[in-house]
Amino acid sequence: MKIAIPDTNGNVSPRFETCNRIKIFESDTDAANYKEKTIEVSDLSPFEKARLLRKEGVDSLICLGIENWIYHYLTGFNIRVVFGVSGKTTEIAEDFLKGKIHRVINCNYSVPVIMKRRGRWHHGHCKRGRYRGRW
Amino acid sequence: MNDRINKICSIVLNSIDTGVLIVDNEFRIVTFNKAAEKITGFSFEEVKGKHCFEVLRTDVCEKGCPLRESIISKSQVEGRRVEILNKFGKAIPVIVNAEPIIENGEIIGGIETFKDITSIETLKKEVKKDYRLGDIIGKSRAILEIFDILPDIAESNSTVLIEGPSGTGKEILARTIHNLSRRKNKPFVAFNCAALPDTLLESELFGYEKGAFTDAAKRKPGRFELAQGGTLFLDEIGDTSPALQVKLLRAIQEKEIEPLGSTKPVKVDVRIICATNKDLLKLVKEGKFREDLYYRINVIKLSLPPLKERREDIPLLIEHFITKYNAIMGKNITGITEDAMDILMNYSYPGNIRELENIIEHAFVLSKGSVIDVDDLPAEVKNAERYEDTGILTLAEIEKRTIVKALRISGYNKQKAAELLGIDRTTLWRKIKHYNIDIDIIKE
Repeated sequence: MKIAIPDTNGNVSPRFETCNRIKIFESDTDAANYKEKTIEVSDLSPFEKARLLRKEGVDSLICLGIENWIYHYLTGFNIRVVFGVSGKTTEIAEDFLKGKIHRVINCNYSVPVIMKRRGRWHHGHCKRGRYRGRW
Repeated sequence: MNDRINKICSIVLNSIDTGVLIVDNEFRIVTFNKAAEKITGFSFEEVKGKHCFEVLRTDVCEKGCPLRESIISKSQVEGRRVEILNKFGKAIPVIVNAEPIIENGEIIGGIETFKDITSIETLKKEVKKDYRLGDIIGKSRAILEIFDILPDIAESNSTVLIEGPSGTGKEILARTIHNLSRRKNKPFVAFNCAALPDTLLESELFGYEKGAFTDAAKRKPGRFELAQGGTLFLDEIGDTSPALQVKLLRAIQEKEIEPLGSTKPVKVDVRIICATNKDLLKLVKEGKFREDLYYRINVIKLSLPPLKERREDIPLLIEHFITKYNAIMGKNITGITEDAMDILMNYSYPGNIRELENIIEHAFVLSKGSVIDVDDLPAEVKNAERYEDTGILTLAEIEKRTIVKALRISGYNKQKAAELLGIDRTTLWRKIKHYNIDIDIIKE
């Protein structure tokens, strides 16, 4: 498994698009034994950073914030994106490799699809409807 | 007394339309007003005690944070344009002011106010047509594949041919290529080849010299010259005449044009992007389009699929148009009902994205509330037959459609419709009820 985490001073960067370096962690079967490398990406555009992950053969990206269009680009090319994660980069990478982090956090709608029940609006974001997922 | 003041402060904070965020000296959020909740999509409960960068996730959190700057400099930072990410991954442009909170000479925190300027920026983009990669909306495979090669295409200087039915966004794609290219600071000139008769087309494209014809009082540069150094977008290239095709071929091949009435060729440095909604190869085979021109413009080909073939992009496009028309019409539409979405997801869109945009605009005009409902959609969309991917209809659907057709033919006379269908009138009544056929709606 190969995972990427945008890193700022040892912590997960606030935003993937503006990060200056990306740490890549790779492990085969033993999660405790992993290889780590850092790539400087300060000169790359957000899209070039996304393409770099594809080129590197990354399976998952763990980040705090990521814009929708980059998210769709990566997931469209089968890179799993786990967002809304903050903390120490290495600890998070280790937890992920051990299978402790697996949720896609805050997966929701940008524009709510609102269900009408018994003639009244059911307010809030519909999480169960047909149009579930991040737009 | 203190409680009363706190209560009043809280009411004041929550009544203003500017987001207010107060952090302690570790940048942990202690106050987050209602406007901040609305802009970010997070509730105060969700963000309380979190670092501000975990919530706002701005493009300047790493470098150039206004709040940090104000705390370090112990002064106010004003009017900084920043982009935050809301809870749903949407970039929201805001104007930020920041100020440190100092007590007895010691910094105990900071206050940041931010105002959503999405409407202003949306309108600016509409006027300037300054499209970037993120403005091509879609997550379908076809769009992602275009996405993937677009920066490389933009970097090259090669001629691009964009194929796709009318209303699929060919011009936006062409503008994005231009804006991503090294020519971005030079002009982008769009020209529709089907808009003018041949004689005018030639003078519009290549320009004319003074005295070239009776009304040519002064020299007029053509679109090729106007696009000098930039990009010339030739829309509906398939509609040009064979005579003009020869001239276009020469202009693209030799990179020089001859204005009407001139004997001196003019060198032009222009990148050509062509678009068509026709099958150019078929036109070549039919002898209606020059083969040499076809191969000259078909260096890089991009094909935009019709909207019905990329249905997964419809919700994204609806969201985009809701943001756009909120800005244009000054409304505050926040969503769409599931029933309305269901109709839009199953419509066939013969006019593609342009038609979807018109549908949303129509809904904005009619909508009285904060969500788009079925009643706000145009009648032809509401009553349209559901688009079926397989082309196979269920028996129930066939029966329903046949009943609707019989009612229309019989002038909505149920007795006559029943006779046409060869069933009893009461059976027809039962089926109308069963299929929930509303005669008033089908009459529209």
